Amino acid sequence: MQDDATLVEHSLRGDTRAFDTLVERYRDRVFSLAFRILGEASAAEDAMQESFLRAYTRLPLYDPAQPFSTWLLCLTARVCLNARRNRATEQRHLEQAAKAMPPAPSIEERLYEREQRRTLQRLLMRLPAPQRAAMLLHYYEELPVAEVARALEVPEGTVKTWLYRGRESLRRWLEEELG
Amino acid sequence: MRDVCKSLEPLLHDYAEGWLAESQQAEVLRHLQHCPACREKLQAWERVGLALRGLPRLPAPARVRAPIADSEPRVALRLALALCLPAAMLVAVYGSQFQPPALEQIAPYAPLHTLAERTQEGLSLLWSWIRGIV
Repeated sequence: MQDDATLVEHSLRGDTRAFDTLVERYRDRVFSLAFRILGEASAAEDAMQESFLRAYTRLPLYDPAQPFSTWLLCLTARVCLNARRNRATEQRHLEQAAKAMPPAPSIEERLYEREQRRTLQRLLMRLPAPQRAAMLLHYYEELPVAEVARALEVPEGTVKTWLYRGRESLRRWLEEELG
Repeated sequence: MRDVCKSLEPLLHDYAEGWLAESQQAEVLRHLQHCPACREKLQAWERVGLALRGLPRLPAPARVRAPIADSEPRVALRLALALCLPAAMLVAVYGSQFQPPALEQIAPYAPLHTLAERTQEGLSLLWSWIRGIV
């Protein structure tokens, strides 16, 4: 199996199959991150498509000193935040999300862990979008604070504050919800 | 929450993240030894971090395709249309008036005669082929 650096190199020489391999390798990861930030599957699909398209067109700007996965996930987070800034799109996605929300959980969904995850995802959506993106890039994708700061174009101190406030908010809300 | 706990809270979080210098770590540790509330908060933050890390990866919908595979045929189609449409319009408008040039016009000199003959044949074939398509 070829490593990311080789595939990027081949893509830059015009080998589109090499880029397809990168897409296959990261599509689930990119989709998951987009879904966690945007909270809705169709919005996440759009963001995923946009992220890969942007990654392809900006591949010449990619610095091989950084892991490709980090670069791609940071780019995805920015795409998601930009998508949320588009008020009309956000409104449409919120409406779809509200429609998609089942009125009551099914028997299967009552499984404790699944319910907790659903609660966590719902509570994540209560955080401001940049704070949520920082939380997910750091805890979910395990990127260091410096990378998160670069991705979101804010100082590292801001990211640290967001992480502290985000974790504290989630702790408080989870305690209220789950007792 | 006690005042000392409140003032230490940001430090407590930095401690949980492993961002503190040794001297500050010692200060937080001293406080933790005597403060069950802060120990409980630290554990709760840890649980939040673990829960976020434990969120499952979601399979991307199958209909989401690699953007390059999708975009390339579209580009090729646009290019083909851009080239063919003007040619088709020219043939449609001027096709009946066009005659391949006479042999004398192409090659007035004998040494070029053979070459010109082949060129004329080729042109006639190409022209009838284009008209056939249109």
